[in-house]
Amino acid sequence: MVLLRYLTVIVLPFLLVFIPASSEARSSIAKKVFDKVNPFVFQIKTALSADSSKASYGSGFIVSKDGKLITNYHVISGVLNKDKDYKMYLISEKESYEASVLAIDVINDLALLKIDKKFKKHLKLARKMPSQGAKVFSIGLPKSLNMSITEGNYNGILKNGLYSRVNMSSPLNSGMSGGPTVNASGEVVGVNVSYLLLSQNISFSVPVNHVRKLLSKKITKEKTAKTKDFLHEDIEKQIFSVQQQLMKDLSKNKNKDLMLNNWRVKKPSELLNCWSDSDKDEEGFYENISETCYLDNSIFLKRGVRSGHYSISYQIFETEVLNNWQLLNLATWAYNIGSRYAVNFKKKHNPFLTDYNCAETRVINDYNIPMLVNYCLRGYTKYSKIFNVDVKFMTLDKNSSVLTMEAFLRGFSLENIKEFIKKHVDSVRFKNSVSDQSLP
Amino acid sequence: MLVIKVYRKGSKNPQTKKISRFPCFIGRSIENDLIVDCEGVSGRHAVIIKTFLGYKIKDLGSKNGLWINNKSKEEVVLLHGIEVYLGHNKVEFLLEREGFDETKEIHYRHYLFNKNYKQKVFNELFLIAILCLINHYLMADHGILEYGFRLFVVFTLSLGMSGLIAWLSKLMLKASHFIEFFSISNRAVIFLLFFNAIGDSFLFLFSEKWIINTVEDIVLFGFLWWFGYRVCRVLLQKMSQLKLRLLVTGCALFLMVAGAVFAYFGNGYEYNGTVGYPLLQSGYKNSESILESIEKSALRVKTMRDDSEQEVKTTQENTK
Repeated sequence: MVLLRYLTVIVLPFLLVFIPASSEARSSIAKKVFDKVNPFVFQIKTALSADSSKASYGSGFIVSKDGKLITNYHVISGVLNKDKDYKMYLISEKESYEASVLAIDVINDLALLKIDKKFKKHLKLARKMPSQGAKVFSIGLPKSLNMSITEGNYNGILKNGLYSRVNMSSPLNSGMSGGPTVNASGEVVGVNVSYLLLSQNISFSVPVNHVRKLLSKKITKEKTAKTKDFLHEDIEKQIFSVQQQLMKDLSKNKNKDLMLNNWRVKKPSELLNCWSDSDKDEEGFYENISETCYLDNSIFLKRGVRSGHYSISYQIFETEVLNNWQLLNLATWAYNIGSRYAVNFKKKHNPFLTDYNCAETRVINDYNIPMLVNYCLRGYTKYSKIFNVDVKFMTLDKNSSVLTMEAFLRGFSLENIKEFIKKHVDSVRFKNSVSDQSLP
Repeated sequence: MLVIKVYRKGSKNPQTKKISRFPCFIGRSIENDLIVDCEGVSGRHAVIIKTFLGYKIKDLGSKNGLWINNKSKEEVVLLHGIEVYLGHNKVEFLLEREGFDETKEIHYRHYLFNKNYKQKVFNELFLIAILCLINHYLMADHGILEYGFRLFVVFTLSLGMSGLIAWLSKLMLKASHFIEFFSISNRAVIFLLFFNAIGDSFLFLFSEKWIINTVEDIVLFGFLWWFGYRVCRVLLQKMSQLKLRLLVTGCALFLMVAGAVFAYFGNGYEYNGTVGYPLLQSGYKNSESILESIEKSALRVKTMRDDSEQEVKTTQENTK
């Protein structure tokens, strides 16, 4: 016992010395990075005038000597989408500068701005992504407080179809978006963009190669009144290209089917994040099998409006106990109310979108299966080529099984919407039915 | 409230009393709530109780018993104007609604229970049928303003229709029979409350939904019951309340089940046009037809967009 006491006495001073020493060593990197990057990171706010209070805020950083800076599109989206003339301001310690938009990349949530000020230096873009596990630092003004730096690890790039994001473990907060994510030598690796809700320090930033692409993009030099229209056209083009690629991807697995008990439906694309589940009713009346797929990322257009994504879900109700009447009751419930991601067909007015136009048709598909199809179409007030559609259909097999499908397409062209619905309606058939392609 | 008139044996001048507390004991001794000091009445003769079905008088083992229509009874349900004998003494009971003016009550009763009940049943049915049609026509989804307008339309129509029918029946029957304002407005309010339920409950008859499992169904069933009760009250005046209510409940249930059966064999199991079962071949088109309908709705969306653009332009010009 005596010996133990001595040991503690001896060991404790060592601990006290070592812990501060090691943390000092680590923080020194952060300090160096902060000193290097701080002069090029600013708060950006949107407001009616330089003195009025902010409508939204974020961070941004300087990437060229003539005053070009990068931020997130979602920081400045109000400038493009609000009726009144909102402007962007860069706030430095001494004064604030009005900024103008040069180019926008909605797919990656980036915006290129310019202010009338010259800088002697600017932040450098990294040529190589760091290796996995390397330290990265995110800089910005969280919650509009003061310039802060957070530290985390680089965890590689997540590719999700068209959308790619850097996955890192440094904590982000609102207000830091638009700020840079830098490596240990102070070079920009990405642009802070989002964090995963209900998770521990899973944050995302836009990879730096997209910033490089945006910088090399053609830039408008017309006056501000016209640039708005030009930028909107550009945004529409970008959404259009996204949905074209999503449709291309759909046609990849043409002959592949998804088996759901006795049913055979079109297999969802591999880009989608799919979940399947099967569950029995509490009283044991029916069995519910579901397959739900959605795209993880989407394009931010305006608060509450996202585009360039879609989701699809199938549900099957199987029963041997219920009679025809009860089965139909169940089917109506499943189709109208009981679906997990119930379509909200209520006419919520949104100035960015037109009202819904809904229709119902009864069709017989290529495999002679009769089904009920409902859809609601909605357009964008500013974009004429793209639409939103919520579509669902259902069919029954004799007296034992119900199949329902729901899909939400956001920002798709009319041609592609038609193709999507027709393909999915026509692909439904029974497990044993022979496909047309396999016939001699 | 219950009004009781006690006639002594042979006398024509009754002793009138109002009873508002129940149970109320009747008898000769002082302990009773209502003292009837007459020959042939026992010390504690009977008790009047209030149940959810109405008032009842019960015999408490008296010597001379309770008599109605020359038959001795243990227990009698008290209807309006019923005459009961305690021994040889006639007792008349009058039911009075609380908070009602007596004259109004008489008019109301006059309306409900006079001989031209066929005309009245027809009136009720006609009114409800027309309101159902209007309601069905207006069933589409609207905004708040339009919804308010709908309420207004239904309310004024129900008021107007009741008035019109009263006036017509007055002309046709050449009788001084009228519906006073109270009854018209009362009905208008009820229609207002149920005006969605009216349409739905009649759809309900012809749909496959024969299991009551949601709150909505209970409301619908309630409306059906209420409607049946009103009709039966006019048609079957002599039936006791309990029997009448049981009958109405039975009828409502029967109608619902019959509706379900009718729906099953009749029109291929269609419910509000949402589901077809068994999925019949007729009425179905080729899947190409979806494409056409999408194009149609896209055109509509385009017109909507153009409208909103114009609105924006006009507002901008106005502000300038």
